[in-house]
Amino acid sequence: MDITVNITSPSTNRGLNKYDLLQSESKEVVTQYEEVLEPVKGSLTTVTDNDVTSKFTVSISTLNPTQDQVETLELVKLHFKAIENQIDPNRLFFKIDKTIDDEFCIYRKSNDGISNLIINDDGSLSFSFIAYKQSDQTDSYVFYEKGGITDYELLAFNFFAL
Amino acid sequence: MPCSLHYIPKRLHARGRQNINKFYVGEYLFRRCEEADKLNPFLKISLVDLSVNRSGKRYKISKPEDVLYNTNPQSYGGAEILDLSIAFLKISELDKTDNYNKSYTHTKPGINGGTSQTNTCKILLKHKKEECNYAHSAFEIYYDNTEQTFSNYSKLLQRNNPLKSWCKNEIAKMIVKEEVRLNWTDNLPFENFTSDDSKLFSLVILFTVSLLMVVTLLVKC
Repeated sequence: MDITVNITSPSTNRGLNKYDLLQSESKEVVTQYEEVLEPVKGSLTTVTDNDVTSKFTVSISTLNPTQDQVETLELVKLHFKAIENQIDPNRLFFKIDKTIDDEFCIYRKSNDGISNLIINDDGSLSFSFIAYKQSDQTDSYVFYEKGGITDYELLAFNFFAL
Repeated sequence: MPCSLHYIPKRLHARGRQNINKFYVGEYLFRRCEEADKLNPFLKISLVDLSVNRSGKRYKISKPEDVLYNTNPQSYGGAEILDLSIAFLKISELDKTDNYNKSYTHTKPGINGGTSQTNTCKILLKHKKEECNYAHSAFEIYYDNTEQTFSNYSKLLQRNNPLKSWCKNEIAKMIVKEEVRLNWTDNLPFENFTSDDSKLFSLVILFTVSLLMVVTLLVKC
Protein backbone atom coordinates (compact mmCIF):
# COMPACT_ATOMS: atom_id res chain seq x y z
CA MET A 1 0.00 0.00 0.00
CA ASP A 2 1.36 3.42 -0.95
CA ILE A 3 1.13 6.04 1.69
CA THR A 4 1.44 9.64 0.64
CA VAL A 5 2.06 12.25 3.25
CA ASN A 6 1.56 15.89 2.32
CA ILE A 7 3.47 18.33 4.47
CA THR A 8 2.31 21.88 4.02
CA SER A 9 2.60 24.98 6.13
CA PRO A 10 -0.66 26.32 7.40
CA SER A 11 -1.62 29.37 5.40
CA THR A 12 -2.07 31.41 8.56
CA ASN A 13 1.54 30.88 9.60
CA ARG A 14 3.04 33.81 7.74
CA GLY A 15 6.58 34.93 8.24
CA LEU A 16 7.55 38.44 9.17
CA ASN A 17 9.94 39.18 6.34
CA LYS A 18 9.13 41.88 3.81
CA TYR A 19 7.94 39.49 1.14
CA ASP A 20 5.46 37.80 3.43
CA LEU A 21 4.32 41.12 4.76
CA LEU A 22 3.70 42.56 1.30
CA GLN A 23 1.63 39.54 0.39
CA SER A 24 -0.36 39.94 3.54
CA GLU A 25 -4.09 40.08 3.17
CA SER A 26 -4.24 42.53 6.02
CA LYS A 27 -4.54 46.03 4.64
CA GLU A 28 -3.19 47.40 7.89
CA VAL A 29 0.06 45.45 7.62
CA VAL A 30 0.66 46.51 4.01
CA THR A 31 -0.07 50.14 4.82
CA GLN A 32 2.31 50.11 7.76
CA TYR A 33 5.01 48.43 5.73
CA GLU A 34 4.68 51.01 2.97
CA GLU A 35 4.96 53.78 5.55
CA VAL A 36 8.22 52.30 6.76
CA LEU A 37 9.51 52.00 3.22
CA GLU A 38 8.56 55.58 2.31
CA PRO A 39 11.68 57.26 3.79
CA VAL A 40 13.95 55.25 1.48
CA LYS A 41 12.03 55.61 -1.76
CA GLY A 42 14.46 55.22 -4.62
CA SER A 43 16.77 52.97 -2.71
CA LEU A 44 17.75 49.63 -4.15
CA THR A 45 17.79 48.23 -0.66
CA THR A 46 15.04 48.19 1.89
CA VAL A 47 14.87 49.81 5.23
CA THR A 48 13.92 46.66 7.08
CA ASP A 49 17.15 44.78 6.55
CA ASN A 50 19.73 47.31 5.48
CA ASP A 51 19.15 50.54 7.31
CA VAL A 52 21.34 52.05 10.02
CA THR A 53 19.12 51.00 12.92
CA SER A 54 18.81 47.40 11.71
CA LYS A 55 22.54 47.01 11.14
CA PHE A 56 23.42 48.34 14.58
CA THR A 57 20.65 46.39 16.28
CA VAL A 58 21.70 43.12 14.67
CA SER A 59 25.39 43.76 15.42
CA ILE A 60 24.80 44.67 19.06
CA SER A 61 22.61 41.64 19.63
CA THR A 62 24.90 39.13 17.90
CA LEU A 63 28.50 40.33 18.44
CA ASN A 64 28.46 40.62 22.26
CA PRO A 65 29.80 44.13 22.78
CA THR A 66 30.92 45.41 26.18
CA GLN A 67 28.74 48.03 27.87
CA ASP A 68 31.33 50.70 26.95
CA GLN A 69 31.24 49.58 23.32
CA VAL A 70 27.43 49.73 23.31
CA GLU A 71 27.49 53.31 24.59
CA THR A 72 29.90 54.41 21.85
CA LEU A 73 28.01 52.41 19.21
CA GLU A 74 24.75 54.14 20.19
CA LEU A 75 26.36 57.56 19.74
CA VAL A 76 27.75 56.59 16.34
CA LYS A 77 24.36 55.15 15.34
CA LEU A 78 22.59 58.36 16.27
CA HIS A 79 24.72 60.38 13.87
CA PHE A 80 24.65 57.79 11.10
CA LYS A 81 20.88 57.92 11.42
CA ALA A 82 20.92 61.69 11.01
CA ILE A 83 22.88 61.27 7.78
CA GLU A 84 20.52 58.55 6.62
CA ASN A 85 17.63 60.97 6.94
CA GLN A 86 19.43 63.59 4.89
CA ILE A 87 21.02 61.78 1.99
CA ASP A 88 20.35 58.92 -0.37
CA PRO A 89 20.49 55.72 1.70
CA ASN A 90 22.28 54.04 -1.18
CA ARG A 91 25.37 55.98 -0.18
CA LEU A 92 25.15 54.67 3.35
CA PHE A 93 26.72 51.35 2.54
CA PHE A 94 28.76 50.12 5.49
CA LYS A 95 29.37 46.92 7.44
CA ILE A 96 29.87 46.11 11.09
CA ASP A 97 32.09 43.24 12.18
CA LYS A 98 34.32 42.18 15.03
CA THR A 99 38.10 41.99 14.76
CA ILE A 100 40.19 39.16 16.17
CA ASP A 101 40.87 41.36 19.22
CA ASP A 102 37.13 41.85 19.87
CA GLU A 103 37.07 45.43 18.66
CA PHE A 104 33.96 46.55 16.82
CA CYS A 105 34.83 47.57 13.30
CA ILE A 106 32.42 49.72 11.30
CA TYR A 107 33.87 49.93 7.81
CA ARG A 108 33.14 51.20 4.38
CA LYS A 109 34.91 50.89 1.05
CA SER A 110 34.86 53.62 -1.57
CA ASN A 111 36.67 54.02 -4.87
CA ASP A 112 39.41 55.87 -3.00
CA GLY A 113 40.04 53.64 0.00
CA ILE A 114 38.79 52.08 3.21
CA SER A 115 37.23 53.92 6.16
CA ASN A 116 37.26 52.22 9.55
CA LEU A 117 35.73 53.19 12.87
CA ILE A 118 37.26 50.91 15.48
CA ILE A 119 35.51 50.76 18.85
CA ASN A 120 37.62 49.22 21.62
CA ASP A 121 36.41 47.28 24.66
CA ASP A 122 36.63 50.43 26.81
CA GLY A 123 34.54 52.49 24.39
CA SER A 124 37.50 54.42 22.96
CA LEU A 125 37.38 54.86 19.21
CA SER A 126 39.75 55.37 16.32
CA PHE A 127 38.91 56.65 12.89
CA SER A 128 41.09 55.62 10.01
CA PHE A 129 40.94 56.27 6.31
CA ILE A 130 43.51 54.43 4.20
CA ALA A 131 43.64 55.56 0.59
CA TYR A 132 44.47 53.12 -2.19
CA LYS A 133 47.88 53.75 -3.72
CA GLN A 134 46.38 55.02 -6.99
CA SER A 135 44.12 57.48 -5.17
CA ASP A 136 45.15 61.05 -4.44
CA GLN A 137 42.99 61.20 -1.32
CA THR A 138 44.65 62.00 2.01
CA ASP A 139 45.02 59.33 4.68
CA SER A 140 43.60 60.01 8.12
CA TYR A 141 44.07 58.49 11.54
CA VAL A 142 42.67 59.83 14.81
CA PHE A 143 42.28 58.16 18.20
CA TYR A 144 39.69 59.28 20.75
CA GLU A 145 39.47 58.19 24.39
CA LYS A 146 35.95 57.38 25.51
CA GLY A 147 34.08 60.65 25.90
CA GLY A 148 36.78 62.47 23.94
CA ILE A 149 34.77 63.02 20.80
CA THR A 150 33.21 66.43 20.72
CA ASP A 151 31.78 66.24 17.23
CA TYR A 152 30.22 62.91 16.27
CA GLU A 153 28.50 64.61 13.36
CA LEU A 154 31.83 65.55 11.74
CA LEU A 155 33.10 62.03 12.41
CA ALA A 156 30.05 60.48 10.74
CA PHE A 157 30.21 62.80 7.73
CA ASN A 158 33.91 62.10 7.24
CA PHE A 159 33.26 58.37 7.46
CA PHE A 160 30.84 58.59 4.55
CA ALA A 161 32.51 61.39 2.63
CA LEU A 162 35.93 59.81 2.07
CA MET B 1 68.77 20.23 11.90
CA PRO B 2 68.36 20.19 8.09
CA CYS B 3 64.92 20.55 6.53
CA SER B 4 63.23 17.16 6.20
CA LEU B 5 60.11 18.22 4.33
CA HIS B 6 60.42 16.57 0.90
CA TYR B 7 58.14 19.07 -0.86
CA ILE B 8 60.17 22.17 0.06
CA PRO B 9 62.54 23.12 -2.80
CA LYS B 10 66.24 22.95 -1.85
CA ARG B 11 66.73 26.61 -2.79
CA LEU B 12 64.57 27.51 0.23
CA HIS B 13 66.57 25.40 2.72
CA ALA B 14 68.67 27.50 5.09
CA ARG B 15 71.70 25.12 4.85
CA GLY B 16 73.83 27.15 7.24
CA ARG B 17 73.20 30.49 5.55
CA GLN B 18 73.02 33.48 7.90
CA ASN B 19 70.24 36.05 8.20
CA ILE B 20 70.83 39.15 6.12
CA ASN B 21 70.46 41.97 8.62
CA LYS B 22 69.28 44.58 6.18
CA PHE B 23 66.60 45.01 3.56
CA TYR B 24 66.55 46.76 0.21
CA VAL B 25 64.36 49.48 -1.23
CA GLY B 26 62.54 47.79 -4.10
CA GLU B 27 62.60 44.41 -2.39
CA TYR B 28 59.24 42.67 -1.93
CA LEU B 29 57.69 41.00 1.09
CA PHE B 30 55.11 38.28 0.47
CA ARG B 31 52.42 37.51 3.04
CA ARG B 32 49.89 34.72 2.78
CA CYS B 33 46.32 35.55 3.67
CA GLU B 34 42.72 34.87 2.77
CA GLU B 35 41.66 36.82 -0.33
CA ALA B 36 38.85 38.40 1.72
CA ASP B 37 41.37 39.70 4.29
CA LYS B 38 42.88 41.98 1.67
CA LEU B 39 39.57 43.83 1.33
CA ASN B 40 39.74 45.11 4.89
CA PRO B 41 42.91 43.86 6.61
CA PHE B 42 41.91 45.57 9.87
CA LEU B 43 39.57 42.71 10.76
CA LYS B 44 42.23 40.00 10.82
CA ILE B 45 45.44 41.76 11.82
CA SER B 46 47.24 40.02 14.64
CA LEU B 47 50.04 41.91 16.35
CA VAL B 48 51.80 38.72 17.34
CA ASP B 49 52.31 36.58 14.27
CA LEU B 50 53.22 38.79 11.33
CA SER B 51 55.34 36.51 9.21
CA VAL B 52 56.32 37.29 5.64
CA ASN B 53 58.81 35.99 3.07
CA ARG B 54 61.44 38.34 1.69
CA SER B 55 62.20 38.31 -2.02
CA GLY B 56 65.77 39.56 -1.97
CA LYS B 57 66.77 42.07 -4.60
CA ARG B 58 70.02 41.49 -6.45
CA TYR B 59 70.04 37.82 -5.44
CA LYS B 60 66.58 36.27 -5.39
CA ILE B 61 65.79 34.66 -2.06
CA SER B 62 62.23 33.52 -2.77
CA LYS B 63 59.39 33.65 -5.26
CA PRO B 64 55.91 34.89 -4.26
CA GLU B 65 54.35 31.41 -4.34
CA ASP B 66 57.01 30.06 -1.94
CA VAL B 67 55.10 31.69 0.91
CA LEU B 68 52.33 29.14 0.36
CA TYR B 69 54.51 26.15 1.34
CA ASN B 70 53.39 24.75 4.67
CA THR B 71 56.54 24.51 6.79
CA ASN B 72 54.60 23.27 9.80
CA PRO B 73 53.00 19.93 8.84
CA GLN B 74 51.16 19.84 12.19
CA SER B 75 48.97 22.69 10.96
CA TYR B 76 46.53 23.06 8.06
CA GLY B 77 45.80 19.32 8.12
CA GLY B 78 49.27 18.56 6.83
CA ALA B 79 48.67 20.20 3.45
CA GLU B 80 51.92 20.78 1.54
CA ILE B 81 50.80 23.88 -0.31
CA LEU B 82 48.19 26.15 1.21
CA ASP B 83 45.20 27.33 -0.76
CA LEU B 84 45.56 30.96 0.23
CA SER B 85 46.09 34.30 -1.45
CA ILE B 86 49.32 36.35 -1.43
CA ALA B 87 49.67 40.00 -0.40
CA PHE B 88 52.62 41.80 -2.00
CA LEU B 89 54.37 44.56 -0.04
CA LYS B 90 57.03 46.57 -1.84
CA ILE B 91 59.66 48.16 0.40
CA SER B 92 59.75 51.85 -0.52
CA GLU B 93 61.58 53.43 2.39
CA LEU B 94 64.02 52.24 5.06
CA ASP B 95 66.13 53.94 7.73
CA LYS B 96 69.85 54.77 7.48
CA THR B 97 70.79 51.22 8.45
CA ASP B 98 68.57 49.78 5.70
CA ASN B 99 66.05 48.47 8.20
CA TYR B 100 62.43 49.12 9.03
CA ASN B 101 62.14 50.43 12.58
CA LYS B 102 59.18 52.60 13.47
CA SER B 103 57.93 53.57 16.89
CA TYR B 104 55.10 55.53 18.42
CA THR B 105 54.77 56.90 21.95
CA HIS B 106 51.57 57.60 23.79
CA THR B 107 51.23 59.46 27.06
CA LYS B 108 48.16 58.92 29.17
CA PRO B 109 47.53 61.89 31.44
CA GLY B 110 47.29 61.16 35.16
CA ILE B 111 43.83 61.14 36.70
CA ASN B 112 43.11 63.97 39.18
CA GLY B 113 46.65 65.29 38.99
CA GLY B 114 48.24 61.85 39.25
CA THR B 115 51.34 60.72 37.40
CA SER B 116 51.05 60.43 33.64
CA GLN B 117 52.01 57.17 31.96
CA THR B 118 54.11 56.97 28.81
CA ASN B 119 54.34 53.81 26.70
CA THR B 120 56.00 53.04 23.42
CA CYS B 121 55.18 50.64 20.64
CA LYS B 122 57.79 49.68 18.07
CA ILE B 123 57.51 47.77 14.79
CA LEU B 124 60.68 46.10 13.51
CA LEU B 125 61.17 44.08 10.34
CA LYS B 126 63.62 41.21 10.76
CA HIS B 127 64.97 38.41 8.60
CA LYS B 128 64.33 35.28 10.72
CA LYS B 129 65.38 32.27 8.68
CA GLU B 130 63.85 28.86 9.32
CA GLU B 131 65.48 25.58 8.27
CA CYS B 132 62.81 24.96 5.62
CA ASN B 133 62.35 28.60 4.68
CA TYR B 134 65.43 30.78 4.42
CA ALA B 135 63.24 33.69 3.22
CA HIS B 136 61.20 33.79 6.43
CA SER B 137 61.00 37.27 7.92
CA ALA B 138 58.64 38.92 10.38
CA PHE B 139 57.37 42.21 11.67
CA GLU B 140 58.12 42.07 15.39
CA ILE B 141 56.03 44.27 17.65
CA TYR B 142 57.57 45.58 20.89
CA TYR B 143 55.63 47.17 23.73
CA ASP B 144 57.98 49.08 26.04
CA ASN B 145 60.86 46.97 24.67
CA THR B 146 59.11 43.65 25.30
CA GLU B 147 58.41 41.61 22.19
CA GLN B 148 54.73 40.71 21.88
CA THR B 149 54.06 36.99 21.92
CA PHE B 150 50.92 34.89 22.16
CA SER B 151 51.52 34.53 25.90
CA ASN B 152 52.09 38.18 26.84
CA TYR B 153 50.05 40.14 24.26
CA SER B 154 46.79 40.09 26.25
CA LYS B 155 48.56 41.51 29.31
CA LEU B 156 50.57 44.19 27.51
CA LEU B 157 49.84 45.81 24.15
CA GLN B 158 46.25 44.57 23.94
CA ARG B 159 45.49 46.64 27.05
CA ASN B 160 46.81 49.86 25.57
CA ASN B 161 44.17 50.78 23.01
CA PRO B 162 45.85 53.91 21.58
CA LEU B 163 49.08 52.02 20.82
CA LYS B 164 47.33 48.85 19.67
CA SER B 165 45.16 50.87 17.25
CA TRP B 166 48.18 52.74 15.91
CA CYS B 167 50.10 49.50 15.27
CA LYS B 168 47.15 47.89 13.52
CA ASN B 169 46.63 50.96 11.38
CA GLU B 170 50.29 50.91 10.29
CA ILE B 171 50.11 47.24 9.30
CA ALA B 172 46.73 47.71 7.58
CA LYS B 173 48.19 50.63 5.63
CA MET B 174 51.03 48.47 4.34
CA ILE B 175 48.60 45.82 3.13
CA VAL B 176 46.09 48.24 1.56
CA LYS B 177 48.81 50.32 -0.13
CA GLU B 178 50.95 47.25 -0.91
CA GLU B 179 53.95 49.15 0.33
CA VAL B 180 56.34 49.31 3.32
CA ARG B 181 57.26 52.86 4.18
CA LEU B 182 58.55 54.62 7.29
CA ASN B 183 56.90 57.96 6.60
CA TRP B 184 53.54 58.17 4.94
CA THR B 185 53.76 61.62 3.44
CA ASP B 186 50.07 62.35 3.44
CA ASN B 187 49.05 61.22 6.89
CA LEU B 188 46.98 64.11 8.18
CA PRO B 189 44.10 63.77 10.59
CA PHE B 190 40.91 65.18 9.13
CA GLU B 191 40.51 67.31 12.25
CA ASN B 192 43.19 69.55 10.75
CA PHE B 193 40.71 70.58 8.09
CA THR B 194 38.08 72.76 9.64
CA SER B 195 35.26 74.31 7.71
CA ASP B 196 37.18 77.62 7.85
CA ASP B 197 40.15 75.96 6.15
CA SER B 198 37.85 74.60 3.46
CA LYS B 199 36.35 78.05 2.87
CA LEU B 200 39.81 79.61 2.67
CA PHE B 201 40.94 76.92 0.24
CA SER B 202 37.86 77.49 -1.93
CA LEU B 203 38.49 81.24 -1.95
CA VAL B 204 42.12 80.74 -3.00
CA ILE B 205 41.02 78.44 -5.85
CA LEU B 206 38.31 80.91 -6.92
CA PHE B 207 40.76 83.79 -6.86
CA THR B 208 43.35 81.85 -8.90
CA VAL B 209 40.80 80.80 -11.52
CA SER B 210 39.46 84.35 -11.78
CA LEU B 211 42.96 85.73 -12.17
CA LEU B 212 43.71 83.24 -14.94
CA MET B 213 40.51 84.18 -16.76
CA VAL B 214 41.34 87.88 -16.56
CA VAL B 215 44.87 87.27 -17.83
CA THR B 216 43.51 85.14 -20.71
CA LEU B 217 41.02 87.88 -21.65
CA LEU B 218 43.73 90.55 -21.53
CA VAL B 219 46.01 88.47 -23.75
CA LYS B 220 43.19 87.98 -26.28
CA CYS B 221 42.43 91.72 -26.30
